[in-house]
Amino acid sequence: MKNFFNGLFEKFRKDKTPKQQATDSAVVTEELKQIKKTDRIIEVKNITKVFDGVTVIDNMNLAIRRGEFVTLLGPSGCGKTTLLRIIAGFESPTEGSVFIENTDVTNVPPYRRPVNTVFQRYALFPHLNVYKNIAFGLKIKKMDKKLIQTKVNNALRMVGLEGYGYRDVSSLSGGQQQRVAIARALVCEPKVLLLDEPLGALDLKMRKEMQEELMAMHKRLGITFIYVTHDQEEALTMSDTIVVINDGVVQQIGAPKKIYDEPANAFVADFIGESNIVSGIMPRDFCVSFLGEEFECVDKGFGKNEKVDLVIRPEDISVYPEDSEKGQLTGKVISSIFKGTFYQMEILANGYQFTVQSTKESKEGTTVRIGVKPDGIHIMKKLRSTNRFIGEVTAEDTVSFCGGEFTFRNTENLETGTRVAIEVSFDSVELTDDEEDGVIGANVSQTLYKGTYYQVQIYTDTDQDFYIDTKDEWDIDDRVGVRIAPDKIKVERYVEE
Amino acid sequence: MKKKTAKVFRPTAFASPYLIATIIFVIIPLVLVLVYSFRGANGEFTFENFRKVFTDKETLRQLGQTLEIAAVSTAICLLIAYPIAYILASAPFKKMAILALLFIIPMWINFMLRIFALQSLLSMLGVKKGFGAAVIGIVYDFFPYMLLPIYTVLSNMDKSYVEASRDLGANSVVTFFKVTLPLSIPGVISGISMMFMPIFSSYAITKMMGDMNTTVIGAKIANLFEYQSIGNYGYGSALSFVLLIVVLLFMFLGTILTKRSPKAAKPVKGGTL
Repeated sequence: MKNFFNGLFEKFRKDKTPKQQATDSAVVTEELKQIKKTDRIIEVKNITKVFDGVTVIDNMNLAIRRGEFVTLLGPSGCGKTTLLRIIAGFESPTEGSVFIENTDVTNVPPYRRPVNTVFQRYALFPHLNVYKNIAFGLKIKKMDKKLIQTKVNNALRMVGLEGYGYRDVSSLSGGQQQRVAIARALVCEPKVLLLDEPLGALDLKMRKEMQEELMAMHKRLGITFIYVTHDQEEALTMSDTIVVINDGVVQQIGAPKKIYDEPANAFVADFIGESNIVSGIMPRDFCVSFLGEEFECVDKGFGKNEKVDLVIRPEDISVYPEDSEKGQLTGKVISSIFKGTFYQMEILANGYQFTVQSTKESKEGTTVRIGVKPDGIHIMKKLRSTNRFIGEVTAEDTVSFCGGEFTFRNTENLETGTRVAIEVSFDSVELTDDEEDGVIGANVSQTLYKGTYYQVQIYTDTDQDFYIDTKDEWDIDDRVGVRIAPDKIKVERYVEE
Repeated sequence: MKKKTAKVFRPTAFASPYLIATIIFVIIPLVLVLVYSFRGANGEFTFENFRKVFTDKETLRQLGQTLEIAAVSTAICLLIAYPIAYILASAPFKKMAILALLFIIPMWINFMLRIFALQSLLSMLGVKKGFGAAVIGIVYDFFPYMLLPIYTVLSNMDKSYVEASRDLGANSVVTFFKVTLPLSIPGVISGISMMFMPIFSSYAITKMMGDMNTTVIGAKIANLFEYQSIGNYGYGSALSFVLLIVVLLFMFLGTILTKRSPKAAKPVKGGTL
């Protein structure tokens, strides 16, 4: 099975022994590695796609390097297939543009793009046999008949379907249809192969086999693969790079190991593998406090007492006997299930139910100590959608927070001196050039261009963070004034958590 | 000891009303037609009626004209219906509403009334009765029978076939001729058979829209049974029988073509190599 793909190159290398071929391909791979670091084959810029008023893709930016195996991973409905269809040209983006090899192809129809697609349900033409299906693209290019024959036969050999040329496509099994679909796309020699959940309809064993074959083909051909899946295990196994997408927004881009070990946020941590996600605060660098205890960790650079999410993988938690001096928390084993190579246990400690994987079983109902090494705790920034502060009502229509007194609409008749929770959305904060024009002064700490607007992060003199969405560009370390319209400040009585 | 339960009804018993109706209304009349077609004027057994069918020049001419009218109207219907079905199947608006309004609701009106209306309209426009008017009438009357099967096939067709074709380098025109059209052939065949065969045996429209020179074979048969003066049950029966055979042949041809045309390939779950 490993030799499927030999056929495709045979035409060019008839005089060479397999050993020489292997050396050649190693050289090619090395060269590709050199090029691909900077060579972006596909770029999507500020892509937004709206279907019937629903935003499926929200201002997405993505660059894919030549020769990579990239997986678009996310739950169903996250926009990953739509993104693939935009790259293929079947959908046009509501806003933004697509570049292939630095050429804007946003308005180029699919038949003039150097990409080919393997469809989810294969979409083999039922009125054509296997041979004619694969030859379809070549015949349209008006290629010489003999050349077509050579190419189709090589493609058939590549996918291990020699002698199936005259079979009816409906007489093939799912796996065979899949191979024909791959051959049909690859025979056109695309620069990028797009695969839309191609293994979804296959059974587990078949899927594993096809995964290996696809990886081998990718290595051999050296072309870029963009692979859409909702199966995180498939993504971790096959990809060079994973793009995790949720709600039409890229959550994280990175190598499989990096995504697993250092998820960017709670969504990624939860979606990739099993994990324990706890919220905590960072009292200082290398220290995180959660569930009422302080833990040593390896992360730094967060604000003082900044609220964070943290993820602990089940295999990173060690379990010790009750009387052990090791471990940081005492817990009770709620359940324990044997999973073949390890035991999966649920352990309740300090009010949180940890999922733990260990090769040693702790019986249900026993009390244990559990511990995490510093590098087993990964700290993530909390996903924030609005600015939240705690403040105090200082007069009939003023509220104080972040070291300033802001005017607000006191619709609930809150008494002076009431502790209140304040919420201000990103786009209702106004920044002024002159500090005197604002209620409080602040410094710009970060600015991020999001395509159509800038997301600016500022810190006040009381060391609190604001996020602001604005059309204006601000430079880092600019001194600015902060102003908020009275009706944009949401004030509620503060309830202790 | 085993208990015996009396079986009052077997499931096949429910088919008996249908069977009886079929015997009374289809099989017996067919047998009668067959018997009459071999009967001479005095009740003797003869092949004379069949000999007359294949030798009478007038009859053969009418048979030819019937074929011509059926073929021309079917072809015109196909040429009009296919583009409309294609537009309806690919357009994003509320298709069913338009389909119902334009093509199905007229079917609720009795076809004689529609033909009368068309007759007045055509004479108002100065179109003379004859072959052309007859074809217009038939096209008008049978149009939905051509449109609906094609529309159904086109709108049920998996969009990914078209996308796959475009993906493989075919523009819209090539995609239409290489993918959409071949895949919609079953709808076209069923449209043709739903039109061609009824036209072949119908005569009312031709009678109302045609002139002396446009007589179809159906009209001749009706005359043979209807009017005592030229009445000839034996000849009429033989003619009907030949017509039946011709229609059956066409149906058979249609079935063969449909069987040979593609069925959608369904991916099989799992499977081995």
